[in-house]
Amino acid sequence: MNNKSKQDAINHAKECAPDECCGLFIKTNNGFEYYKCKNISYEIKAESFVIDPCDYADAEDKGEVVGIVHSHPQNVLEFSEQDKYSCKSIDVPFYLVCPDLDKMIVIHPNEVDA
Amino acid sequence: MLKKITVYGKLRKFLGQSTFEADVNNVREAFSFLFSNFKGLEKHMREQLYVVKIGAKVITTDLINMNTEKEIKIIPVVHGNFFNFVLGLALKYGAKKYITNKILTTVVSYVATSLILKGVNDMLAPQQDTRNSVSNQDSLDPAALASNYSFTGLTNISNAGVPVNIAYGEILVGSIVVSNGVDTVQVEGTN
Repeated sequence: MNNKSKQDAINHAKECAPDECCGLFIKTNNGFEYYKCKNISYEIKAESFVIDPCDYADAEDKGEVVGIVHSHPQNVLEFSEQDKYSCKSIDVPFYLVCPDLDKMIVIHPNEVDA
Repeated sequence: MLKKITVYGKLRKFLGQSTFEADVNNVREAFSFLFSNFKGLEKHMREQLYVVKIGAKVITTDLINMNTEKEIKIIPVVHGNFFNFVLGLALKYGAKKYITNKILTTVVSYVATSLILKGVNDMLAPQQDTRNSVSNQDSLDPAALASNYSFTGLTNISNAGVPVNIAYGEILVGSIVVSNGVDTVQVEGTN
């Protein structure tokens, strides 16, 4: 993932704090891109995320989805069990950012043992 | 008129293509079109949450028979939860009491609700195991056909639960013997 899309993801996390942000990395003809999505979680948005399916469809219409990004506003840079499970079931790498940390971690579906 | 069906996410990989054109009127027909053309799709879809959309409208169960002229989209729902983590954190950093209380109430109510719902669901609709109902059609091995209790005979190669095609117009086809006669002795089980 290139630096610009990574920075876009972290900026989006900052905008959304204290809620979780979510987005997608898509691969278009112009390279990688971060696509902001709306968090439509019915639960507490600070602790969960659900990507708006409309955004997912629009993003995939633009290009191939190569990563799913979300943030932990608590600044805990670790995937939760639920995140890993989702990663496995959706079969796309998951990326995690935190608003106050300049880092991004990734988990691939084949690294998750279900 | 042909309608466009677009699938997203993992479904696109599973089906090998992103759009379909089919003569369907509503979402229910669209799904039966997909299920009857792709083996194992039903099981595949059961493992993931999907949202079905027509235009900007999200289709809920009561709208699956609504006729439409627009494109049908099947989109996976991506979700994640920080929640199971909070418990660990609370122990790690000695979080405040109210967080613990909140977690406990949520956990208790969540577990209770899901148990009740599961119980009710099991009573109302006992689910058949989909893996067993689809057996090997090409084989004449009796073991593979063991799930069929009502038909007898060597030439009977039809399994219970297999769709039967309806042909409109003139079609040159082979045949499948559905039944050579029903033997009441064997209705109760295999030999």
